[in-house]
Amino acid sequence: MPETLTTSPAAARSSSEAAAGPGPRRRRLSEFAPRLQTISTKAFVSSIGLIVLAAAWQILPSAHIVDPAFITPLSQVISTWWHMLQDGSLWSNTSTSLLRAAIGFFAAVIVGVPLGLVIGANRRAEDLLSPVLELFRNTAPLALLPVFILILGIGQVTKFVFVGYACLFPILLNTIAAVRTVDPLLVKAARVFGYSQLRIFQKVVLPASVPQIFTGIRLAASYALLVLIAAEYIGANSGLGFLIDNSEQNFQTPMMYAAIITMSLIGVLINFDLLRIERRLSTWRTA
Amino acid sequence: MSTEAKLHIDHVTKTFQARGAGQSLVAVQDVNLEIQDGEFLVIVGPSGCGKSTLLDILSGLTLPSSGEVLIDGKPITGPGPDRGIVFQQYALLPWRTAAENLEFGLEATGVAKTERRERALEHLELVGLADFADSYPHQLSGGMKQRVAIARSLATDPELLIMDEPFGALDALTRDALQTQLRAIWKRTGKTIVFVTHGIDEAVYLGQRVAVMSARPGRIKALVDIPAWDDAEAAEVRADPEFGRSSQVVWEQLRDEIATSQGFSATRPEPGRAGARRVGRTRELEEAGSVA
Repeated sequence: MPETLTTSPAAARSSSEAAAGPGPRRRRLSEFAPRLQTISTKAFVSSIGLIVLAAAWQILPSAHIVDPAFITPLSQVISTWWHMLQDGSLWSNTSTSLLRAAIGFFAAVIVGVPLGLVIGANRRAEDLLSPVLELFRNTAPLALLPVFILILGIGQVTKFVFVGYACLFPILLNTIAAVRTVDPLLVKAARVFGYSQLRIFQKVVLPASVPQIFTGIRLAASYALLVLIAAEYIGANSGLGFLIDNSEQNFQTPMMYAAIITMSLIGVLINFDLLRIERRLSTWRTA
Repeated sequence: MSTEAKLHIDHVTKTFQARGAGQSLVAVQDVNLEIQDGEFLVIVGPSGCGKSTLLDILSGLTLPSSGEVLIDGKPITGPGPDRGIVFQQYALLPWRTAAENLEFGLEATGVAKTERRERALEHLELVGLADFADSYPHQLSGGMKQRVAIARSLATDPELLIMDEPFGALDALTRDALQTQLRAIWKRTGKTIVFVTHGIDEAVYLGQRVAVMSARPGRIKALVDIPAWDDAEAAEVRADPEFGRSSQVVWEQLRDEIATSQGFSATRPEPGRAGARRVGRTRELEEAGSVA
């Protein structure tokens, strides 16, 4: 873009627009039309996959190409889902699961972020802990579920602790990495201005780390539901995982699929929201 | 030694312990310089001659192995608000707007909030960016970012402005424009400036004196007095025959040193200039970190 050295407001403003990209200026309708078209084309293309999946799910079992006892036609799943929504069984199990996941997840955030900041800021602590962390990170949390049950039994606490444990690693590792990868030049500039180490941490390291810390938090949120469902397979009498497992064992396949769909929708919804927040937090990272 | 010098660099030597090899590396050797109040001094030298080390010593990020640096007669023992630095890579906080970046420097010195804003806007005006106070760095061009960085360093009203190849990352036209603007700012504010560059043209245009550094170990090889140019743009000044003569003098001083430093990289199969420089920088950064 042209470099303007003039201080005249008109020239400055025009170059502002060039630099800042599409700002809040008014657009004519003719500019919107092609844009709208691209959006609808894009929406169509990205929904093809879902449409095909839904159609196959409906047609294949109905036509007895696959056994409808194992794969219930989509229409039947949806009507079961609606029924479960109305009799309250869906919500009670969903809310139970969400509460468990939330408790474990928030515990992991409360522990993981400060711990990661301390470890990341302290080279010796990182040297000391990183082999241990690496070992745990590469051990699938589900492999440790029996250990948790062995020690804590099959009560609520096990589920909180287990979810918290699984969520801890993405948060911890991303926070450590965020602190470690802060641009050293920014730290140098802050030192030149005479900032103390503590204030550099507060004014430079912390804000610079926010986007990646949030990436860890988003990953943890999706982990939370994932591992909770598995934990509920093994030892629970409520929750979505229980519902899926229990329906399967009682040959109530439509209920099983209804529960699975519910879980998927919640996962998509949470991830979508968190992605949006993450993008907002890291606008300055682009370019 | 004259007492009225703003900055007095007295027999400064800096030695680094090269890691692993067990041998030490002399980055800067016995540098002596006196810079007067309001002077514009430019340092030129071949890559890896210890310019950055010298600037780190001036800024207080690293301490000399021997010798000392006095500013207004007081020895430099660490970073301080009496010195401002402009880096080649701007070093703006990307999550802060231009005005907030200027305030960042002022927050360190404990200036009250309303006054911070005032001084930030005032200095953005000085570099012609008053309309961009609320823009984020990623919305600005390279030249604009560097002007914000210059304004940020000036906002804290330092005694000494240190500039480390500030225009090195800019395209030629932008660089010209910023050189002209920097000269105007210097005349207006009367700041003492130490400016490091690779460019002989840039050095001769901006500096009242040009200090030529030798290849490693870095020493001041020559001090070249530059005539005062009229208030004209960089391109016009360059057409002046006197400009050509001064450039020639600096070039002749520099030529052998460049040959020496390149001979180094020919005998040792090192990466290119940029690679070698980065290695040097990293070591200096780590060294600086261990001092703090």
